[in-house]
Amino acid sequence: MPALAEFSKQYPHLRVDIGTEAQDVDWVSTALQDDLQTERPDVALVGAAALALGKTRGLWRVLPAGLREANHASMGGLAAQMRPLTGEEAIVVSADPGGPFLLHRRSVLSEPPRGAATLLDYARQNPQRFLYPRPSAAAFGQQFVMALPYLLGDRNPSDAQSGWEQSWRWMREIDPYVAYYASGSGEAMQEFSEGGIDLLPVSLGAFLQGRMSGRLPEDARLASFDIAPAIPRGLFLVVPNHVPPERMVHIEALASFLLRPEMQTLAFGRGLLPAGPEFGIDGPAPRTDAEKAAWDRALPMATAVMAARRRLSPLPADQLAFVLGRWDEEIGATHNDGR
Amino acid sequence: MARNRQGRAGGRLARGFCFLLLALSPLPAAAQAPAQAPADAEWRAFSRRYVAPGGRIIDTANQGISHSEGQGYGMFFAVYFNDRAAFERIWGWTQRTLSRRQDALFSWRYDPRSSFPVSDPNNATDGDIFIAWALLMASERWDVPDYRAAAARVATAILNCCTVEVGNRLVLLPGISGFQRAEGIVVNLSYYAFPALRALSRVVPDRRWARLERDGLELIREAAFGQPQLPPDWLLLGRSDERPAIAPGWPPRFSWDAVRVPLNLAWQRVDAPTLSAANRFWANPENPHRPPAWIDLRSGQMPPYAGHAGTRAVHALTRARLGEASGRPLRVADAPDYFGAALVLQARIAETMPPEPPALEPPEASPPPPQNRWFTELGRAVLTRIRREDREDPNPVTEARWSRPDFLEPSQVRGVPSGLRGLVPPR
Repeated sequence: MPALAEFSKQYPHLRVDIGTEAQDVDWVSTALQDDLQTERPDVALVGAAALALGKTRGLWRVLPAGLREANHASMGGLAAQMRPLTGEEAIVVSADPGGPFLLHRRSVLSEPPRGAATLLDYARQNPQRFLYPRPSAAAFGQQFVMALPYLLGDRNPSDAQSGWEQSWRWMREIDPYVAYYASGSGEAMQEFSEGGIDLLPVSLGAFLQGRMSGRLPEDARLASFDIAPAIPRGLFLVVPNHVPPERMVHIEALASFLLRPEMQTLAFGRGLLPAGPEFGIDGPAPRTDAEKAAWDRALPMATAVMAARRRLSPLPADQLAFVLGRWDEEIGATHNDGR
Repeated sequence: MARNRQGRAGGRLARGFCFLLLALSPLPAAAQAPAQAPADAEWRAFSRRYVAPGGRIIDTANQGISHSEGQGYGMFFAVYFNDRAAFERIWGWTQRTLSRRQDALFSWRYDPRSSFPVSDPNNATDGDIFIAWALLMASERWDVPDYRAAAARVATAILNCCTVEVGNRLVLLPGISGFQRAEGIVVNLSYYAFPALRALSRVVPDRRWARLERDGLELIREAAFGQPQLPPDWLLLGRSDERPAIAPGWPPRFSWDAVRVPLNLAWQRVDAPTLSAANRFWANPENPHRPPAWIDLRSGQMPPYAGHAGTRAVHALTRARLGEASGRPLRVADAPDYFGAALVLQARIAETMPPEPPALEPPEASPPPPQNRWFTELGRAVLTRIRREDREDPNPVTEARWSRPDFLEPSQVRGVPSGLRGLVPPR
């Protein structure tokens, strides 16, 4: 991770062991690294699933109030938006302003479905051409599932245990027509790029990254659901319980370093996230002419899909942990693609 | 008593020897076009469905848990398809998460949602075998001595911790703990991955690999139960008479574990009666759902649904080995879950993978030198001069002979709690 390498270079006297959930994290780590107890890192950079599962297990220590306030000051509205998830145990070190949006190819599907009912109809008529990744392993899946109660008009979108009747039913109904549940967001993007599926819920940042890297087909487009909100996703800094208080000064140095604008360009979005105060992130300019050109082409579409979206918070940690578990048991474990 | 016991053992040995000769006779050539190795797209399909970005293999049918079996499969597939980056991710996760402190083996189960994700320290020998085999293959494919050293450590631990003498048999324990009971030894015949056992002799030459194969094949032949004459998922080898019986405490079925017995036999191209019995069972036109997902070997009961793509893939491999047409190759995408997909991929690989040569058997240990070494050496020198044996032998005897056992696959069953494959409703 370039930002972390830069931190070690600039602060050689501060030694901070950083645990991430995957060795190849380039955007958001997606699974809980369970070696905290054996490798005992000072800091873990985790995705929402890891944050939520670790929080419900009491793995993370409460962060100093000053660190959290500084996070809100530097990350603006996105940090506040994610507060139900982060609570007192995490800060946001990078964020993507929202999802889910539906990725599709204009040449294949010029007018994609824009609601839960029409998406279900599409999936029935075109079995195995739609998928969403496993929520426990992929941010795309988390955002998509968290948006369903709003799409379906469920009674209480913030109570997955008793207020999501229609959402759970809808997930069971569409299950036979889902190609499969991808094991990660990157894997799902690859499947889409290779033409294995026609529709994929993604986040805005992932779409822009795919555009900048050239991995997405040229005619790939982003469509928004009619009534779904934009739910942000983030990379979170947490501190395991075993870390002594005297280490916090080093950790705070790391946190403030990661939040510098120049470091935000190195980390994860490479400065290509939607810029400007309306998105909550001031992203510096792209670094190459090609990226700049791609950015200029993609930004209007990104701005358009974000413009009319409600910005809502992700589920609180305990609710998200419940959703991940129930999904694995009721949806993932019984997937039957009808063949 | 002792004589009777010896007599029984000798008879069994003789039967076993005859069987071994039969078993190792080549299978008939398939009466169809040569099979094609699975394309790289099949690995990508598996990876996108079941390999989490950090290298954890997700058992999608069991609430997203993982186990050493799956990690071993993932490593094996990654090296087979020459995906070194994926191999390193999967092996890295396996090492970090499942390594046991007391030996070179691996804890069998990981539950990502549990407060203690690795709550049972017991190992699963099938997982260990696949992990060791994959490490050995990786060391040979990519020339990484560290992988070979790791394979040697795991293989040595398997031999030392997970094999036990029962009468004259050398038996593979399904795990270190819990399978040596008062009434006998519990055995899972699907753990005998014969190609792996043979391959591991390359890194840890030991006569026990060949014994495991020979005795395992004999056990499989004897473990023919019910009308279809098939092995159960779990077998009990009685302490009193050493005769195999269906193990109490598990469903008396030929099902999600034992389906790998014909897979392993076919993989190593072993012509065993079990292979034909499995083919007859799966192809029986009287069964309403073909191939049946499982059968209760006591009652004959079968479920009202057919086996999934994994079962069909093993059946197709079995048919191919018996010289019958095996139909369209199944794909990973045809399988509904991780285990089915792993069976599909293994069966596809097994169909075209060259068979492992017999396991290497190191020479018998030399007898200890006599006390009067000077006198002996003098006598040998005199004899040599007389017999003119001091000339260099143009065809020196190699120090070791290889024979190769296959390896076994792991099963996820570790006792009866949730996660027992036999109790998971198949689809």
